[in-house]
Order: sequence, then structure tokens, then C-alpha cells
Amino acid sequence: VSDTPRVLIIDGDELFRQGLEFALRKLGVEPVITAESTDFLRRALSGGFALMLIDLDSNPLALEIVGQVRARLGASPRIMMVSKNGDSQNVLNALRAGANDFILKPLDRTHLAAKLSRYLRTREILENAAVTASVADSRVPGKLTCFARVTEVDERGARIESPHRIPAGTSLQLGGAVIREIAGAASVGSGASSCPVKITASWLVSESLPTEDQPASQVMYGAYAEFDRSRCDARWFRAVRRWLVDGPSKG
Amino acid sequence: MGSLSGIEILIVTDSTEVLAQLRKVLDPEGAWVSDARTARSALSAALELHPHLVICDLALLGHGAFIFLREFRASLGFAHTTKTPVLALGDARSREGIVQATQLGATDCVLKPLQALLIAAKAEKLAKSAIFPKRVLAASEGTIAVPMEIMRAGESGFVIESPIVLGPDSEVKLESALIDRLGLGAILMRTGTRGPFEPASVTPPRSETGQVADIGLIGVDPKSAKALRELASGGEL
Repeated sequence: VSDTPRVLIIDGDELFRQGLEFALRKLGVEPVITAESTDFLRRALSGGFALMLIDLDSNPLALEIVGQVRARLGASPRIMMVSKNGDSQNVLNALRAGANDFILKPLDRTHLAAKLSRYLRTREILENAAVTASVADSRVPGKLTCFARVTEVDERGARIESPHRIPAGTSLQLGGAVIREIAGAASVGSGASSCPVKITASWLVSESLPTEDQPASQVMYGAYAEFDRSRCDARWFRAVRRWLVDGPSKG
Repeated sequence: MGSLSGIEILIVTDSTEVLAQLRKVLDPEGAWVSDARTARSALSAALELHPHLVICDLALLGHGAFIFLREFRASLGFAHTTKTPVLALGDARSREGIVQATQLGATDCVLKPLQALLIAAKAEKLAKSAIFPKRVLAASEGTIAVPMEIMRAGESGFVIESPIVLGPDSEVKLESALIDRLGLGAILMRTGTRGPFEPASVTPPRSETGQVADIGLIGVDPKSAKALRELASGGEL
């Protein structure tokens, strides 16, 4: 059995197929190319592909194919759509149908190589983790707690720093000594150790982006965590203002 | 959401009619409104609530409004109370009262009979000018907690999906019914060095925020690994 990762491709443009085949072989990947939807689906369902590339322009059934693959194989196959049309609705339709990613024609070889290496890395990590057992089809929900530093508090929220990147829009619970002090300052639910916040902005604190040369452990991210108005009541905000003005309660 | 959403306003008046008129304007805009009927109760409420705005009726019985203003601004010695905006409600027939209130520290004044639109506009402008000090900390230790889903588990750790991109080689804590079932409780572990990779799916979004979730590989301690290995040896957990 070959260890070379295989990529399944459907595209109606013969010239493009030839160019893609050449490019993929140069990248150390084995392309399996077809122009027929039924053939593509049959091969896709037989499994064993690191990635599927589906041309959206020449194939009227492209979105249906994605839907079929997702319905039969679930979330694990990596599917990338290819199209000359990069308008947002086209991209959105592809992602809604279940594609993982979207790439524009004409293909930039470096861009394709970068995307491909990410997908192959994903596969490698998942397969390396296969000393482990999968948690059946349904994932198991839980809670992840990470450590962060609170560097500033104002009446609307707090600035935090962390080695983890927290995208804007993320809802989370912020905890720690400062939150306990604020809650204690107004006897807000004595013992409250965390409060709901929403990240409204995030940024890179360290000076350079992570690279091969710079270990990612040196990277710190900053974020602004706004106290969630829909989940914090007036008493919480009074406690924050009092803490800001008067400082922590004594004793 | 109203224009005064999240704004704390203290109304100082002993007139039920004035209070009702003000509440009719401020409540629908989302303001958190409290009231006090005497100078003494107004002073303690102001110190308790740290409001963004105080609206003070100059007709308060026994010159109470002027006593309140003087104490609030000068005598209490709290730096912040010197800056809280105060909107005085005056009477056109009592010009001296308005002058005196201004001298004692009222920020602005509206005349009775009260006009809803004017009150709302002035309240919004003044309340939003209230600035509370920010506090810079010497990096106080804290925690962030988010929902996550375990995709795989075993002796080398867990593969999880969460809305945040985990940095490598950092300490994190995982809690889940699966981990409880393994008899491990909440476990502390270090994230792997291979870092986050592509999300398993983009539709439907996995994360609570509707964003594409990222995955990180997390390593477990030897004791937990042994328990996981035993349980994982049968295949699916």
C-alpha cells in the first residue's frame, strides 16, 4: 500500500486537469482525476483520500456531490471547492453545502501547496492520534480552561493576554483573582469565580508572527473581553465601578 | 437596545410625579434607574451605586438638593464623586436656585415642566461623559473557559475542537463526562507541540459563537494515559 496521499479531483476542463495533475505530482501527492459525477462519488465513497477537489463551474451537481459525501461519510473528508467565481455568495453556497475550503482559478501553485500541506498535516495529526480511539460518531462535549493574564480592567470589560488566540466573537467565562475581588466587593453571588464575557477584539502582542524559526511558544495574544450585558446584571456592573473607584474590599 | 442601555442613573426627588415622568423617559431607553427621596439616602445611594448620572430635583424638601450637592461634591472626599455628572431639575421662577446649584457643582440644568425629549438627550449626553478610571494590573493571573468537544481520546492525549486556537506547550484543563467516566476528574495537561490544524467541518459551525472551530492535540499525564490506554484498547470509547 502506498503512503503517498491521494487527492480525488473532478473537473470538466481537460487543460486545467492536466495542469493540476502535474502540480500535484510535483507536490508529492497522487491525483485521482475524473470528469464524471457518478465516478467521482463512487470513488469518494470508497474512501482513502486525503482531500477532494471539486470544480464548481463545470459541474452543475457540484453542491449535491458535496452534500452526498457529507451525508454518507460525515464530517471527516476534506473537501475544497475550485471556481473562477470568487464572489461571496458562491463561496458561501459552497461552504454551506459542506465544503471545508474554497480556492480560486487560475490556481497559484504556491497557494495550492500551502493549502495542501495544511490538509495533509491535519490528516497526519489525526492518524498519529489513532493510537487513540475515536469517540464514536458523536463528539463528547466538555469544558476547556486555559490560563490567561488580566492586564487591565475598565467598566466595560478587561484586557487579557494569553498564549492562545481567541477570535473576536468568542463567548467565554473569565475567571481569576480579579473577578473574585470584584464579585466580593459587592457580594455579588458570594463565591462567584467567573463572569461571562464576549471577545470583541484580539491582536498579536509579540512583535512577529510565528515562523519556522520562532517557536510559537514565544507568541502571546491579547484580547478585549467585554462583560456580557445579556448575562451580567446591574449588580455586576455596579460592583465593577465600585472596584474601579474604591479598590478591592478590605478583608 | 435603548440609547441608555447599561447606564446607571440615580434620581433624587421626593415628588412621585417627577419620578414617574423621569422613569417614563428613562426606563424604555434601558437605563438602570434608582431613586432616593432625601439628601441623606441620596448620598448613601450615590456611594453605593456609583451611577453614571445623578438627576437632582432642586425642589427637594428642606433645601435637601443643595445639601446633597454640597456633600456629594465637596465634603465626602471621594475623588470620583467630584466628577459624576449631575443634572439639576429647576424652576424658571427660582433663578437663584439654579445659580446656587450650578455653584455647588451641578453640571447642567433643565427647567420644569419637564420635556421628555430634552431629558432623554441631556441624560444620554451627560451619562456617556461619565468616565470611570481604568485599572492597569501587574498581570493578574486569570482563567478563560470555553466549551469544547472531544473527537478522539487515548494514551497520547485528546484531539479536541474548541473556538480558540490553542498555543503549543501550554497548560490547560479539560472537563467532560467522558473524562469523569474514565475516573480522571478534571485533568490538567499540556497542549501538544504540533499546534492547531484545520477544522473538521465548517458546516454546521461547531463553536458556540458560530465561528469555525479549531482543533488542538493535547497530551495527558502518564497516569491518565494509562487509564485511557486501557479503556481505548477496545476501540471506541
